[in-house]
Amino acid sequence: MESQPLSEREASGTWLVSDELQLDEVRLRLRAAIAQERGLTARLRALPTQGRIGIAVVAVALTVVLPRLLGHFNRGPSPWTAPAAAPALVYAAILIALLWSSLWPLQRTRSRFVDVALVSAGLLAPFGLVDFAPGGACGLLGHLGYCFFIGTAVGWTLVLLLRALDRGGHQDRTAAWLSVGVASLATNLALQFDCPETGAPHRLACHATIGVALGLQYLAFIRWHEWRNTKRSPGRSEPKMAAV
Amino acid sequence: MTSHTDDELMAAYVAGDGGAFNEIFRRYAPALLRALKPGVGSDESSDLLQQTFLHLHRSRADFASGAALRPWLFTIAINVKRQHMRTLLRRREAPLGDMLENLAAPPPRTARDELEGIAALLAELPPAQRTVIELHFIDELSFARVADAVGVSLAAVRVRAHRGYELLRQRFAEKVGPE
Repeated sequence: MESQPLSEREASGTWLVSDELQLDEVRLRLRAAIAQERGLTARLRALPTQGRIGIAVVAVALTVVLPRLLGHFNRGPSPWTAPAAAPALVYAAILIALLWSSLWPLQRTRSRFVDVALVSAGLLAPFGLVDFAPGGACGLLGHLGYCFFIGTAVGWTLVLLLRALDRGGHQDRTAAWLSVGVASLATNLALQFDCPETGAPHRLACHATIGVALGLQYLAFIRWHEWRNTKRSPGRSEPKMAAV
Repeated sequence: MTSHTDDELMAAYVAGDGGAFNEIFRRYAPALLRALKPGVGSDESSDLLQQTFLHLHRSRADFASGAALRPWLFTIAINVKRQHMRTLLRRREAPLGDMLENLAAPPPRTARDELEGIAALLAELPPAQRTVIELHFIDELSFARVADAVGVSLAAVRVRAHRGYELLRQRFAEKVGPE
C-alpha cells in the first residue's frame, strides 16, 4: 500500500492526508533527533550489543575486584580466604543475568516476569550475602570506611554507566531497574570481599541496604528528570526521545 | 533506491547513506504508525514512531545481514509502546490532552465509518489478542512473523488470533444486529 499514490490511498479509505502530514512531521523531528546523536553516550549506544555488554562486564568486574587488588598490593598477603565456590557461582550467575537483561536490545522480545524476578534478586540477594564471604581483611574500601556512602557512590556511577550504554536511556524504566540491581549486587560483592567488618548487623545495615538506597536515588532522579522536561516543554505528558 | 531490498538498504544505511534511512522510513512508517495508533493519541503515536526509528538508528550495528527488517522494526515498536503504556498506567493519569483533542475533532468521514467501527471493536479486545490481530490483519504479517515480533510460540499466536477473530465476529454481529 505504501507504494500507492496518495490520492489512491485516500480514495481507498485506509489512509488520510492527515496521516501523511503526521509522517512528515515525524520525519523532520527524527532528522533533528538523529542530528543530536553525538558525543560519548551516542557512540556507546551505537555499539553492537556484544560491545556494550563487554564494556559493562569490564566495569562491573573492576568494581568487584579492583578495591580488593589495590588493598592486596598495599599490604601484601592478607588473611582473606576465598568464598565457597557454589554460592559464588550463584551470585555471579545472578549478576551476569542482570547485566545481560539490563542491556537487552529492544528489537528482541523480553519477559516481564524474568525482568521482575531479576530486579528482585538484585535487590534482595545482598541480604543473603551476610554470611557469604569470610571477610576480615581490610582492603581499600575498608581503609576508607563509610561502606554505605562509598558503596552508594560507586553503585550510582555504575547505574549511570549502564544507562549510558542502554539505547532506551531513562525512558526504559525496566532496564533502569535492572541496572540498579546490577549496581546493588556488584557493590555488595566488592564490599563483601573488602570490608574488614564481618558482623552481620554491619553487613545488613551498611551493605545490603545500598540497593534500596540506589533504587530510591533512581526514583528521585527520574522525578527530577520528568520535572525538568515538563519545565522545558509544558503541555506534553512525555519527554521527547530527542531530549533524552 | 525504491527497488532495493531491505537488506541492501540497511547495509547502505550502516555504511552512512542517509537516503537509505529515508527509504526505510518511507517504506515502513505508515504501517508502524497504524500499529502504534490504537489506544494512544495522535501526538503520542508520533512520539512512539519517532522513538521506534531512533531505536533503529541506535541499533543499526546489531542488524545482521539476511535478517528480516519488518519483524525487527515491529518488535521495537511493540516494546516502545509497551513501555509507554506502562508509564501511563504508573502515572494513573487520563490522557486529558488526547481526550480534549478527540472531543474537538471533526466527525469521521462517511467512507471510513466501517473501518472506524472495526478499529473501535479492535480496541476493546484484550491487549494480547489485539496486538496479534493488528499485526496479522492490518499489517499483513504472517503468523510466524507475528510470533517473532510478539515473542511467543507460533501455536500461541494462532490461538490468540483465533480467539480474537471470534470475539471480533461476535461483537460485530451484536453491533450490526441480525441480518
